[in-house]
Amino acid sequence: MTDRPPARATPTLQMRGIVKSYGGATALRGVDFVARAGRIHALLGMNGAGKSTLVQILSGAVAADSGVIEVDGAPLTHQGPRAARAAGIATVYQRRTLVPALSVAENLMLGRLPRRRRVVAWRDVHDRAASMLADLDLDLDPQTAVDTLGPGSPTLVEIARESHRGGRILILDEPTASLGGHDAALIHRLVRQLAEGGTSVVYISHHLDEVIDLSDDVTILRDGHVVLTAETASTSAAEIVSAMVGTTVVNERPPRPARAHTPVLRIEGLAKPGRIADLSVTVGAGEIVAVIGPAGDGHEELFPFLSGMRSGYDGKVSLRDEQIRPRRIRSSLRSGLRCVTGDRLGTGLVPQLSVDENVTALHPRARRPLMRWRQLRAAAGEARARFGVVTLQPNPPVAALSGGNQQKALLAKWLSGTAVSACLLEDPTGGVDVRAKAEIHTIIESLAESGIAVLLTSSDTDEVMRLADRVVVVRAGRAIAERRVDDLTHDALTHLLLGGSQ
Amino acid sequence: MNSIGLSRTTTLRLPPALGRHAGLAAVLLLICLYLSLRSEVFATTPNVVNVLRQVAVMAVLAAGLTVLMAAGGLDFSLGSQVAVVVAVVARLLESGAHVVVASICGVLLGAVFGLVNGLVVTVFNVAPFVTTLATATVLDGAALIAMQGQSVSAGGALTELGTGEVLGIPYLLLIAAVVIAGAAATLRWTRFGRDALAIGGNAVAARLGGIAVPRHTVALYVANGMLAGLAGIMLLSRLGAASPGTAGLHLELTVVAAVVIGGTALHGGNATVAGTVLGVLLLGVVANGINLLQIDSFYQSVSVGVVLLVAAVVNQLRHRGRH
Amino acid sequence: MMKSRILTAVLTATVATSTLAACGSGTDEAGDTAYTIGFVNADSLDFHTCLEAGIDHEAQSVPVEIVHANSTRDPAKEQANVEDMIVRQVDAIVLQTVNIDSLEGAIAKAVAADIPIFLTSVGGPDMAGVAGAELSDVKHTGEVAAQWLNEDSAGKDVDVAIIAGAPGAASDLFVGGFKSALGPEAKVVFEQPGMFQRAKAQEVAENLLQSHPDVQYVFVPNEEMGFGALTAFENAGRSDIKIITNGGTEEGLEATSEGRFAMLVASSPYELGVKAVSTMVDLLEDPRDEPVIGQIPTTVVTKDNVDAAPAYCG
Repeated sequence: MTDRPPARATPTLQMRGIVKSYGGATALRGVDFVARAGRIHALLGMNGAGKSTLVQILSGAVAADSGVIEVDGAPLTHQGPRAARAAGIATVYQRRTLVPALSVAENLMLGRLPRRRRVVAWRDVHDRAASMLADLDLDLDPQTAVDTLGPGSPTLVEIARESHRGGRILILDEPTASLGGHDAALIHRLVRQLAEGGTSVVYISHHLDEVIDLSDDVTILRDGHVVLTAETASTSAAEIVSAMVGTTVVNERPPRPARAHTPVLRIEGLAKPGRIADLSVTVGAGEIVAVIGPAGDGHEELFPFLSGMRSGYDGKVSLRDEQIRPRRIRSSLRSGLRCVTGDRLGTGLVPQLSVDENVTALHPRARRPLMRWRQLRAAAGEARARFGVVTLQPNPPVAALSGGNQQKALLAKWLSGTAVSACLLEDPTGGVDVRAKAEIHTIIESLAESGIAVLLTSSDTDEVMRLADRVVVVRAGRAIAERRVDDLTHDALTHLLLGGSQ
Repeated sequence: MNSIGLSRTTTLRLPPALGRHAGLAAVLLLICLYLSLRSEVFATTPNVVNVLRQVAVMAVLAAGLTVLMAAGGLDFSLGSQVAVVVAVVARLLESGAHVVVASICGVLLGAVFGLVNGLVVTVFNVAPFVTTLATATVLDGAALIAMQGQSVSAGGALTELGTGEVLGIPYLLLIAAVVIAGAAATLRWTRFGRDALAIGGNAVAARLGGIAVPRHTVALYVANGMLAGLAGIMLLSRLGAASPGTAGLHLELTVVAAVVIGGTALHGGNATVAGTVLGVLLLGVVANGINLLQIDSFYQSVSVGVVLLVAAVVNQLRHRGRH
Repeated sequence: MMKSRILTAVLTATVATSTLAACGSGTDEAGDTAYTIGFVNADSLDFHTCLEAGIDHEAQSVPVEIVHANSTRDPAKEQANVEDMIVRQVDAIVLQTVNIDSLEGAIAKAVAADIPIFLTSVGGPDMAGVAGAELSDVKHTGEVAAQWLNEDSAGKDVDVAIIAGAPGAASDLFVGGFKSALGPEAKVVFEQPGMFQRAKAQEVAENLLQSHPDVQYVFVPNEEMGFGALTAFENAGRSDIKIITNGGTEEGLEATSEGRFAMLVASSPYELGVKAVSTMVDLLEDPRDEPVIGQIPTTVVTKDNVDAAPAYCG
């Protein structure tokens, strides 16, 4: 961080007095924002604070109602994505825009494949891609298809592509949102490297640790206003959180009495060649046990195994000493085991169906041959209230909800029935904002208090420290440690997780 | 927005359902308006009954297909199933079987076809499009074999069904109405129908939620096969004889077109019987109108295609308006 | 799961074997015969099966060996069938074409391979190179139908409807011949395609009843569609509309004898088949330079002279 240009360096990008409203709702109320060459500027805010709108205006996707955008001191006269790109503004959105079946090299040069006599010159394609990757110290094979890459690599490819296309002002919208420590670290390294090369980076993130560690400047939006803009070094996590939330959010681990837990859920000898070897966990009634590992590691096999989604596992499961066969989904649900996916729209909810139907999908009152919509609505109302699902319209399709509300609806769907005795929660706060995260944590705690055995898989050390009673650490497909969380510090857990000297 | 929020259920459920089909309904209405201006006969009761009787068979197939497509299924063999049922039932009647026995055989035959489709799709995991296109080809041939390339007269056993009326409403129309109501009720009011929507919307989530997806899917194909059996009997009652080239793939294409034009998604998770009914009516009205206006034969398929295209575009415009 | 797997296998096997069994019955070997003739049929409708019956019957009595193929309404398959016959080195080919437009290629192939080719019912515009043909004069059939109508209506003003086939050569010739020979008193008030399908013709006839309920005569250029129209009229209780059609099957003749068809232009595909083989054998014995082209005889049948019609299927 020491090599960075000083905070007073000439701005490459300057936004002044940006106002944008949609119909009656004002998203931005006069925002000023400055990005300087060679510096990483973090942009933070809760959902709905105006971050996305600001990004859309910057990338040219929407036009501001009023305000000025200057690049290198000259106002942008033209609107639209092409003009933004021509001015050197490049955006990497949260959703990848790569073509999955094509190779890394083709994706890097999408639309501009080098040709000789009108025929694609494949050797040039691969050579150029290889040199691009080498310039950025990226250890990727240009000929690999993107859909076979690991979780973080597509993001790296996309950042590399945008930078190569002449993005001097690079907007990264939560590039590490769904990534674990190792992949996130690779992205951090690439971002630092680009900044050192003179690129201005606008970095949007939910992870406070990341922001504090990575960024030079930080700007925080709340309700369409800039509430804080400062050099990162001169602020603190607590200050940032209180600026984002407005009031200070308490998300500390509340004191929890140590209890003797009667064992409820027992997993013995879970194994799948190449993924996980001999994992055993026991969860007691009212206990929260976390299995943590770096993103992409073997702990992620727990959900597909226990839910019955995939076959090909060795291992035994029992619930209150009764053996369970996970592939017999109906009987394992009947016995009171619930597995809540970390991919809420992919494998958890039915996106087009309404919130009410989703949250009552496993509800005994709703599972009768004939639908009774009034009863279903009543049952849904209870589930929504208990899990804090808030909607603007009475009963929209679940896909229309915000991430946090979707996640709560997901929990409500799988856990609102009466017969739950144990549950697996896969990454229960993935991609949700700080406040929703705190609420979900409270929900999970109350589940445990009601006597449910809670098994948690996560890559988030904060979450584990906040929630768990015990933690099993998985690295490279093996359980390497099991600890009581009370005997552990945050640093110690990070150390176990990442190894090395950190 | 707040004022709407207060008057929740009933007021909110109907308007979106209507609004969803406003484009298609407008196209249908405009065509009806045009036809009644150009032809004195179009809007008369006998012609309306005539059109409704003509679309009854298509409506029965389309209603069933809507529920199947809700679950992400597709059956390209329905028209060919109808062809075989028409042939076999005519054969049975010709050889002196009782009309009830022959009809039951027809429906059971449809169920068997549906079972084969369903099992191939679920057990071997073959895409429904491929499976049912293949069975459609097999069944088209089977229909020819069943009638040995010759017309087979059904005698008079089914005439009453095909031409009879109660209170001025043809039996065929009544049957179609019952099937449509049944399909709509299934989708809206039964666990079976809601589970179909859940499977079509997210098959993995549905399975993890304890829905027996394969069994459910097979049941849907069987139900569609039985409806194809019913449709075959209805068609035979109208035609009085089985003949080569009856039903088959071209009937199927009309049925699929009606369902898709109605707004049911090809990939499942979203289905509307009301839209299907509008789609069926649109196709029936256009076919009738073409004869009434005596449009030159070379321009007939052009006209039908243009109407379909306009209906599809209008439907899409409505969607875009909402987002 | 296992059970359902077995069930599927059994069902699939049943369907497959029944299909194969039906396909396998096509070819039959004859003993010592002078010639081998390849017969390429177009489809498996009444007409085609009876044509084949006539061909097989005549082949047994000559005797010659017949190699069968069926193009199943597919012009491309017809070309392939003709090529197959050439490869099998048959002495002659009898071709019932799918479609007049695919004829030219088939004829050219046969001529190039120096194999005589004989056409049944449908001929092309250019018959050079063809050994012989026995053709149905579609236009003439239309004219005959119109002439009968002129006589039957006896100078009164009448409304006439036409339910044509699929747009294209055959249907246009039928309808053209019919219209051209129609007297001035007869007015064509309705003309729509029934696509040569019974169900479609019935639908069109139903719509005809809506738009022109007063129509007195309906011309339908094949019997299959004629029955569709008949069903529509009978369902509506209309026995007064006179149907004029073309065919000659047992059912058609029966309907004519009952007066349900007013007039039927009858011809026999069976006799066509017989004639095709006998003419072809004659031409093999005694080749000619010019094609020998005959016309399929037709008989005007009403309920008074049903016995005069030739037997449709031998």
